[in-house]
Amino acid sequence: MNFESNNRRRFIKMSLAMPMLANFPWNIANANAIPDNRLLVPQAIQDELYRLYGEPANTIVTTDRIKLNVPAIAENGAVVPITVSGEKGLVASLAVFVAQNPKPHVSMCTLYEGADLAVSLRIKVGKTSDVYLVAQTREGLVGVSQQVKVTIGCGGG
Amino acid sequence: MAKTFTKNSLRIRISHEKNGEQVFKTIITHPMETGYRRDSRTGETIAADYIEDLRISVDGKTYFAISLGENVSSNPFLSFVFARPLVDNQLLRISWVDNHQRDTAYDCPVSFGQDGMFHFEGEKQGSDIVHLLPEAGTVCKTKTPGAGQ
Repeated sequence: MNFESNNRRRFIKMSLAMPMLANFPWNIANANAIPDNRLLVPQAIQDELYRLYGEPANTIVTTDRIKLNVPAIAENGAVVPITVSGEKGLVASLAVFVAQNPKPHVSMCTLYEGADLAVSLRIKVGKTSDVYLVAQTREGLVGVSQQVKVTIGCGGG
Repeated sequence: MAKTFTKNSLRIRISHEKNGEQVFKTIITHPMETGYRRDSRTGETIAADYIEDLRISVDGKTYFAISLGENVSSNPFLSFVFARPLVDNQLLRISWVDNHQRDTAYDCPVSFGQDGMFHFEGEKQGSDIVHLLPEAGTVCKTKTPGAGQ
């Protein structure tokens, strides 16, 4: 009687533990996978970033402290205005990339003391592409990306 | 192809915004050729010609160093904000190096008008590109097929 009862308890314990065990590795696997806040950049841009900043670019974190203002639809790909703005004193240097251009690296701006983070520039976007902004901060590389649709590209894209 | 550089010119405007910020805007007249385009009549590739490094300094202290390149629109327009507003009699210097390693620099003494604005316009004669064409030819070989620029 006692034995049977024990067995039943063990069975209940086991049946409770099993789903937990089944869940456990699943959680670990999720933790090892790419976190939600990481910005994925194409390989060509990663290489450029490594050349510019000398650190691997697989640790770029998305941020909302820097705003990248790019038109969602550009009628003329030869002149696409971009504006970068954000907290003062946050960024030491920033780089802009257009993924689909023959050479993705557009510009790199170093902000010295006395320069605010409010920069605008007009760039060429050959065809519909993602525009990446990567900034170097004290906490490491942070980035933002946005797609620009080019309706009449300078190459007819 | 005897192509000479046209004059490059620079226009600056510094204005005071309502929130007290001083916004610095500049337009440089420059072709910013990518080196990928072809002349529609002759079929020859147009030599690359773009600004590589641009530096904005005040009284010898650099505030912004920005690398431009072929992906920047022709006649680049740039806008910045200085944390500490500029005042009269400071010397604003804008200098750049192009992809042929030629230097150009503009010195503009700052003086605000009655309306709180500062305007500057200047132009310089560019140098001849003819002797640089062989070098530009090697640049053009890096053309990516299907690159729509």
